[in-house]
Amino acid sequence: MRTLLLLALLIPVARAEPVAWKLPATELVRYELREAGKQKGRIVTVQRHDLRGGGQYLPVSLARSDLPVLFALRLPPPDTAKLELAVRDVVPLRAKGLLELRTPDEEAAEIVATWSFFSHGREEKGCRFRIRDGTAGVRTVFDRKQGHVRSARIDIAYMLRKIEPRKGRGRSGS
Amino acid sequence: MKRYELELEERGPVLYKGLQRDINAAIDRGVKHLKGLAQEDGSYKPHGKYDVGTTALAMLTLCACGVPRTDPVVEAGLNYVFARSPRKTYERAVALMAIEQAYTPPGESHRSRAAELRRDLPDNRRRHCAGLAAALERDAIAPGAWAYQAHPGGRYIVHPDSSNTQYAVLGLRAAARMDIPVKVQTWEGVVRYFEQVRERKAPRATVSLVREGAVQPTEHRVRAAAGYRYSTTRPHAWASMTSAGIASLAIAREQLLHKRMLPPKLATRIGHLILGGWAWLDRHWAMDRHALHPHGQWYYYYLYSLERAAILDGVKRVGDKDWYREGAAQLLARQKESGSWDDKEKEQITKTCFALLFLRRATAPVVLTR
Repeated sequence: MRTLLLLALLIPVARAEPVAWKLPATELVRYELREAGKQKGRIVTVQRHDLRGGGQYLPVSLARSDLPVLFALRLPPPDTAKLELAVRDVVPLRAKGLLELRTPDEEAAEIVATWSFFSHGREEKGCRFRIRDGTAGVRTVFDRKQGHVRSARIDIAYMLRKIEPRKGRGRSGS
Repeated sequence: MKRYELELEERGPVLYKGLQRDINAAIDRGVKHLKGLAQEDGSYKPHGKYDVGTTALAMLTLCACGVPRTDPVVEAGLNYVFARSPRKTYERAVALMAIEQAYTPPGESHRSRAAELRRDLPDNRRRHCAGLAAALERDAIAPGAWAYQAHPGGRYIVHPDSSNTQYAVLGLRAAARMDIPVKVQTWEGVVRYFEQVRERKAPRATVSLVREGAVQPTEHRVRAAAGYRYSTTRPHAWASMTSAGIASLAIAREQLLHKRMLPPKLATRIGHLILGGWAWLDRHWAMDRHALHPHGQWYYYYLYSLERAAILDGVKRVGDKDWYREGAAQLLARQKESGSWDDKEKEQITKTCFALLFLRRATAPVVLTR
């Protein structure tokens, strides 16, 4: 079933444009990201150089605050493939996602995806946190003709565990 | 669980007919706001403990944006700067940069030969600048490497770092443009310092640069796409320090050339170091954030660093990325209604100054003829 859904997303039907960013180097897409219920948000921009992950959104230097935007602006990797993410302060993340629904529309595609993510591997120098049980439910409206995301709603949750600094070995006598 | 909403505001070109008009309007609003922040005595509310430095940065910005030296706000600010002898590297350097900018004749061609630069400072002010330049050179931890400040005894409290070093280099370049002598060893030391803070492990890469005056890009194969670290103790590079490395090396090359002390081998070495920096920036290109900074801070500082690197090395585009238009588009989107780039009191002067200096392309290009 999952494979069928993925194929449905990747192979356009009824002459609909595929779900793919169409962003020339000379254009900038600007969004406002707000926490639900709050009036003021922050600016998020996408340029072509931010489409690093095989033509999908992947800016450099990710922070934890970028995770909602990242999941909203890209499709989950196909099937069992996993996305590796280097996030500042955090032990590298491994994320996988599932596409649940696609509304076949020539103008816009509604994509519902569920992501799960967690810290994987050993902590490197500078990592202060480990993420566990991360989930993100995303409902994105993608403008097929224009080739960009119109809007998204993101529910994100994760457990953040602080890494205790390793105690150095004490000096042994003389 | 947190819930977020992402809404499209607009999709717009970073290159459009009226962009320069919008940039000019943004500069005018920013300048008006910045002038309004001056205090009664001509100073600006210090950023941290940088009393003279903050005022000097505001003066540098206002003069670079075309406010004349005779303007009451600039006059009062310059008097404030001249009346003090700062001890911190940043402050000495920015004071020199501000004074040089203030005494730059309006309409001076960027193509002027180094020997033709005229800065008509009164004698007492010239002596003040010579003193600042001498103090900068004297207090270097090693020739071409600076830290925040010397102890009264002359011993440094921290390691030299690329940020202080970059500003000292800019300050000494401003001094040289005022015909104040700077030692050859200092410029040679700058090259040595940035070789030390360069990333040790870096991949091979190809970087394509479009230079000023050129239409077609030139492809360069680079042996190491190595960025520049904040200091030798830091494990990796980030964007502002890499830009700082490129700018400082370009200045060292320019100044050694003026002194006829640039052997071809050294010129080639500097060229490789600079291209490695561009290749690093190309790999980690970001205009919406300060790439790879450990805390993601100092975004506006980064943009101004990139402006200096690009202008001093004469780079118009990196691959298909037009640094100026992309940065300007980001800044136009981020300017507040007040004309500032941050409404919070703590950092609004520095952020507004860095944004304006970027938009104004305030750095004087390298002059390669004596």
